[in-house]
Amino acid sequence: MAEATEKLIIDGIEVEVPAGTSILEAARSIGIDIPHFCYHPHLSLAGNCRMCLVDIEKMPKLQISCGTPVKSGMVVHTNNERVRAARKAVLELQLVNHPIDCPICDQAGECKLQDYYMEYSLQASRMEVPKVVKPALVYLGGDVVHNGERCVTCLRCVRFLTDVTRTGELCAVNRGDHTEIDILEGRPISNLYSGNVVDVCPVGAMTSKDFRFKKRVWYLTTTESVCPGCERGCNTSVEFEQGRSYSYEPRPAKVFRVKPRRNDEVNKTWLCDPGRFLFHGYQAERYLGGPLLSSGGTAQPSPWNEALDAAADLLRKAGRDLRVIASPDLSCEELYLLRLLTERLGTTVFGWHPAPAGEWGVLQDDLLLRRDKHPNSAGAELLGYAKRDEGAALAALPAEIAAGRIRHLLVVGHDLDAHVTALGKLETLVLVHWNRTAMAGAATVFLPGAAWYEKAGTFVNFQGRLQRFEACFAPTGGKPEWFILLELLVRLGHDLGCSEVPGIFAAMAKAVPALAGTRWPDLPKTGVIVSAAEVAS
Amino acid sequence: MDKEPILTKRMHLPGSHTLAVYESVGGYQSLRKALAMEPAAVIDEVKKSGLRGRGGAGFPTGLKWSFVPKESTKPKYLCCNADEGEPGTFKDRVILEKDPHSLIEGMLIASWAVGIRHGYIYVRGEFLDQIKILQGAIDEAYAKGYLGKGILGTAFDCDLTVHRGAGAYVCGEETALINSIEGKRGQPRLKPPFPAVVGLFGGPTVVNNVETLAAVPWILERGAAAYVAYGTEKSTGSKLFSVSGPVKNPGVYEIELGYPLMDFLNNECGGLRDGTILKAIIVGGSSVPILTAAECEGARLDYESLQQKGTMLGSGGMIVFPEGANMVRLLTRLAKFYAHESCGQCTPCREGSGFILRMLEQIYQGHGKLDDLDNILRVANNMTGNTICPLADAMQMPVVSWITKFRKEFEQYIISGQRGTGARHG
Repeated sequence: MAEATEKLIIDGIEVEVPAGTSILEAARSIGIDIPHFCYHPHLSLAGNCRMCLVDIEKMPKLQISCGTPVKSGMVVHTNNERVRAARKAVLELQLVNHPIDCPICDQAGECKLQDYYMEYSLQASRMEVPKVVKPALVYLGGDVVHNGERCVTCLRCVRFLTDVTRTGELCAVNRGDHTEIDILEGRPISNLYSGNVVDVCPVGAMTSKDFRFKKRVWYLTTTESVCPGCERGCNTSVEFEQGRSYSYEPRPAKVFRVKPRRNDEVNKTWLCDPGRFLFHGYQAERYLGGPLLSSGGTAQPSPWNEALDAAADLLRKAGRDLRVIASPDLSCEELYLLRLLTERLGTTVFGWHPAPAGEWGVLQDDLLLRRDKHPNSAGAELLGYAKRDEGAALAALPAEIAAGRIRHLLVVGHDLDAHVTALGKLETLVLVHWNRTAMAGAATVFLPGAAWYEKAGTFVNFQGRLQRFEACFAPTGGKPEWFILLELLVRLGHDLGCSEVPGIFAAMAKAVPALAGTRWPDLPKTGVIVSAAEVAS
Repeated sequence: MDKEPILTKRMHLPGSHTLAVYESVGGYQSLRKALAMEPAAVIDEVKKSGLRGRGGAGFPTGLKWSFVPKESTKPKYLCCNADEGEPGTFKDRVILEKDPHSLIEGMLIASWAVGIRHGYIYVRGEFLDQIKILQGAIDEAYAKGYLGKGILGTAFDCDLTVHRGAGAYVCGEETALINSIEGKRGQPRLKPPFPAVVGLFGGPTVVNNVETLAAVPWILERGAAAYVAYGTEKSTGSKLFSVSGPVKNPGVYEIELGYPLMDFLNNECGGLRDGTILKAIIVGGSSVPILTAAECEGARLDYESLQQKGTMLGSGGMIVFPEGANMVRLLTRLAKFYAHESCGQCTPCREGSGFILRMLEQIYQGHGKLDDLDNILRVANNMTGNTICPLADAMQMPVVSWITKFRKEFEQYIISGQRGTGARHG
C-alpha cells in the first residue's frame, strides 16, 4: 500500500512528501535549509528556539517549521521579508547575553549562531545594559565542558540524555534569562555517550574536553569513515590535519577527532565514547618506521622492496606448511587477498583474533555497543573464513609450536604478544601489523601496516551491511595491509592487475556471489545489505 | 449589581465555606439534577449559557468540554486552575475562601458531563489558608458522599485532589500547569496536541478556571436562559472584578458583563479617594494594555467592548492609578515580574524580557537615553506572537501600551535626569 503523501508549495517549488513530515524536513528534501537551533531529527520536539519560523499563507502568525506538519495545499514562504525580520529578531535576542567570545571559542567555524548571524543578521549590537553573568567553565562529566554564557538554551543536550541514553544527568535550572544547564549535585554525566552531548550542541556551550583548544576546526579535513570499534560499524567522519611544513619543519598529518556521520539505519547520529576516542590509541602506539628484517637475532631496517622479496621467498619456501592467522579487524579486500594467498600456497587459515579481553571486551548495550569488538566479523564469514570462536585454537598455538607441528607462520593484523616465547621457536614468522608489538622482535620479517584511518576498504557490519571507508592520509613508514598482500601475491605469481582498493573490490565482487553487482564507486553512503542474516552475537 | 448575584450570593452568610451552610441554601441540588441528565445534555446547557473562560482568554466553556473525545483508552482528567498569580487579580481567592463547595459542585458537574473520574485543583502555592479551607470542604464532601464512589447513589465515581503549586506564575498556563502536576519542570508544552487530546498523564484533559467552574451549578439550577439574561449578547453572565488602587472601597465585586466601567468605579467602588484624580486603569490584570482616564470614559466591562478599546477583559484584576503615579517606576516593577516569571524556554521571551527589564531599570535609575524607549518598543514587538505560550505577549502588552500612552512622561523622566532609588524599584 502506498504511503499517504501531501503536496505543498515551498518557496514556489511543489513538493510531495509523506504525511506527517514537518515543513522543515520537507524543505530540506528540496535543498532549502531552514535555520534552527533546537530541532534535531533524532530528538523529541522542543520548538523553543523560534529560529525556524516560516510564513504559511492563510495563517495569521508565523509558525515553527519543525513542529508544523505539512498539509496539502499549504503555501509556505521560508525566506520572505517577514520571516527574515523574525529571524533577525531571534538572533538579536540570542546574542543579548552571549559573550561574543568567538576568538577564544572552540566552536568558532562550526557554530550555528556564528553562521546564522553572518547569513541572516549582520546587525550591530544595541545592547547597552549589563549582560547576565553565568558560570563559563563547568566540567559536567564525561567529555563535556560547559560554558553557560554561550548557551542558546535549545535543550538538545538535556533531551539527548533524556530521550536517547535515558540517563537524564542534565536539566535546566532557574528561569528566564537566568536559565542554566546543570547537573545535579555530585551526579556528573557518566554514560558511554557523553561525546554526543558536545555534538548536538549547536553552539559553543558544550565543548569536548578531549578536543578543546587542540585545533581550529578550519584546519581540519574530513574523511568519511566507519568506526572499527565493534561490529555495528557506526558511520563516522574522521577529522584530521593534512601534513604540512612550517619553516622547513615537517609536521606529519594527524587525526584530531572523530564525529558520528548520519546513518539512520546504523547509528542515527550517535557514536559511543570508546569508539570516538579509539584513534588516540592508534595514534599513540602507531609504529612509524619501515620494515624490519631479522639477521643474526637482531632486527635490521630494510627497504620495502627487499623486505617484500624476503617475505615472499619465505612464504614460497614454507608452502603448504605455512599457517596463517588473520583478523576480523581487516577489511573485506584484505581478507579476500589473504584468502587468495592461502589458496595460492595451498594452505589454510589456522585461526584468528579472539574478542578482546577485559571490560571493553564485554561492554555492550541496546543503543550502539555490540559485544563483538571487531568491525568485520560478518565480512570474514562472507569471504569464507571459519566461524569465529577459534580463540580456543589460538590458545593451543604454543603447544602446536612446541610440538613442531607449526613451523612457519604468517600473522596479519593480529597481536600475539601473549605467546611471544613460543613464537621465538618458529622457523619463519612473517608479521604484518600497524604497531610494533613485542612479537615483532621474534619476526623473521616485520612489515609495518597502517591504522584504519590510513587506508580505504569495506567492512560488513552485524546487519550484513557493506560499508565503505576512505583513507585520511598515507601512513608514515608502513603500508596498508592490502598493499602488502597485493605485493606478496604478485611476487608469488598471482597478479590481479590492479594497484588500488577499487580494483581489489572489483575482483572480489566478481569472485564472491554475495557481492555480485556491487561496484566501489556506486556504494551508497549508508552502505548496502549484502548478507541477509544478522550474525548472531 | 441590580440582579440577584450568581457567584457571590452565599458569600455574606456566616460559615459560607461549610457544607452545612452550602446545603442549607440549596447546595449540591444542581449536581443531583445534572446526574439525572445525559452528559451531552449538560454540555449543551453550558454551551447555550454562553459561559466563557474566566481565567483571561474567554474561550467558550461548553465548546472546550465538547472537544474531549468521547471514546478514549486513557483516563480523562479535569484540572481546575486556581493558580491565581496575575498581579492585581484576587477574585478566585474569595471563591476558595468563601464558597469552595460551589467549585467542588461545578467540578463534579463538569466531570459528569465530560466523563471524567479524577479532577485536580492546582492552587497557587502562596494560598496556604485557602488550601486549608478547600481541603476541609473536599473532606466534608467525601464524608457526605458527594465525592468518591457511587456519588448520590448513582454509578458515578469521582475523586478530587488538591495540588499545591510551587510559586511559578507560568504554571497558570494550562500546559505548564499539567507539567507541574506531573512533577515536571513547569513550562508550557508545544501545541498541538492540545490538552483536550493529550493532557495530564497523556489523557484528554479539560482545564478550567475556578470562577468558570463555580458558575456551572447556577447555570444547571436555573437553566441557560436565566444565565443569558445577564450580560450582553456575546458576553453573557456575570464576572468577578478585583479592584485595587486609590478607590474608596477596594475589593472583589460581582457585576453583570457589559456594565459601564466608570459607573462601576463610581458606584460600586465608591469613586476615587478624596483628593485623587484618575490617571489610568488596568482593567483585566496587569498583562492587558492600560487605559488612560480619557479612554475609560464610555468603556463597558465585557469582552467585545474592551477589545474595541484596545484592551482585554482578562482575569478581571483591576488596578486604578491616580494622577501623580510614577509610571516609569511602576512599569519597571511590572517588567521585573514578567522577566522573573518567564520560564526560559523560548528565545524571544527568555532574552527579551530580561533585556527590556534592564533597559527600564537603566532609565529608572537615571541612566536612560531617549533612544532607549524605541529600543524597548522594538524588542517588545519582536517578542510577541513568536512563542509557545502567551507570557511574551503578557509582557509586551503593558510595556508597549504604557510607553506609547505615557511617552511624554517617560521622556520627561529621562530628560529631567531623575534618579529612582534602590535596585528594587518596587
